[in-house]
Amino acid sequence: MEDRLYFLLGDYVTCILSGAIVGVFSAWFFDPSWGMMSAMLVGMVLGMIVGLIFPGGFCLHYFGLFELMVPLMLTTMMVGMVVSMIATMNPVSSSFAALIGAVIGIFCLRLTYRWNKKISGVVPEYGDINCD
Amino acid sequence: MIDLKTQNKWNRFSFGYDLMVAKGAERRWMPTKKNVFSKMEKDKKILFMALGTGLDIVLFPPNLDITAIDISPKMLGHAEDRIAAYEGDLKALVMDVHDLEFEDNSFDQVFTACTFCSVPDPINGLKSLKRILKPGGELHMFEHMGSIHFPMNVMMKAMSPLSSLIGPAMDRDTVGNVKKSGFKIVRVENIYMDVVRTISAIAE
Repeated sequence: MEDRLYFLLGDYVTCILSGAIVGVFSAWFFDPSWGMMSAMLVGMVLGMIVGLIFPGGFCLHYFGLFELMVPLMLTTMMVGMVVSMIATMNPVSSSFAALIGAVIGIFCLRLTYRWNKKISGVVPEYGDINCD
Repeated sequence: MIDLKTQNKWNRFSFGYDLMVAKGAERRWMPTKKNVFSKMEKDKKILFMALGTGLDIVLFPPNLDITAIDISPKMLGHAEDRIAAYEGDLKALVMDVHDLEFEDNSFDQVFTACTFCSVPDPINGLKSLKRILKPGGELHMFEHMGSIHFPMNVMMKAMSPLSSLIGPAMDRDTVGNVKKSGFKIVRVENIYMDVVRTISAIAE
């Protein structure tokens, strides 16, 4: 797991900010006139696009590439899907949508940290022969 | 013969490449890259593939004899100051990995860093590297590649056609390509999930 403060902060800021922004966007874009399934599918794709452009593009430049891209994509997909689903049932306020987005952002980041901890390191099937 | 399409692509990107390249990724990967390059050994003939603008030179151990290649003369033009600043013997040549102009069995070690995501024909490129390596010669790679895990594999496959237009492919099976090109893999380490990896292999 990442233990350098600069990158840890960068990871959290990126996921929280992108989750909140995608949440607000989805709350604004979707309303009860949408069908739930179509809103969820469109929400996932739009969420990813919006999140990767802003703040993704900026944050990826300064804080990392794949280490950020993976949680960022998961966050934006999930937030787009969840907020759009809620918005098809009831109108969602911007602040509530931002809160949902931020919480999902933290959840997705923690999930990828755990996932990475589990699979990072030497891959056993190739052994670990020192070729020096 | 040089692949002019690829050369033109990287010539175009050479202007402003250092500004465009993700500073965060470079800083984040620095300790791992430094560790990979620490395997460069004195008194061995070393080839570094795809030097680009020379961002990695600062991580090379000093006092080594390194030959570096890149397909783009403009990229190497931007690397001149970094090449001059290296405390050792570093020669940079314009060359295409698919058509290396070196003799067979002429290098002891080959190093790559985020290169085989962009090589148009990775298996042939790796076969070229195997040809110029002495038997028992070492290949050390720091590369990003596609994942086998859902949903990352789907996301990366979806992004790859777009990312390939401006630079790297996201869904390469680089470990599989190293095996297919005839190397014996001795170590694979997942640096970030199974997306960013280091690979050590031997030319048999």
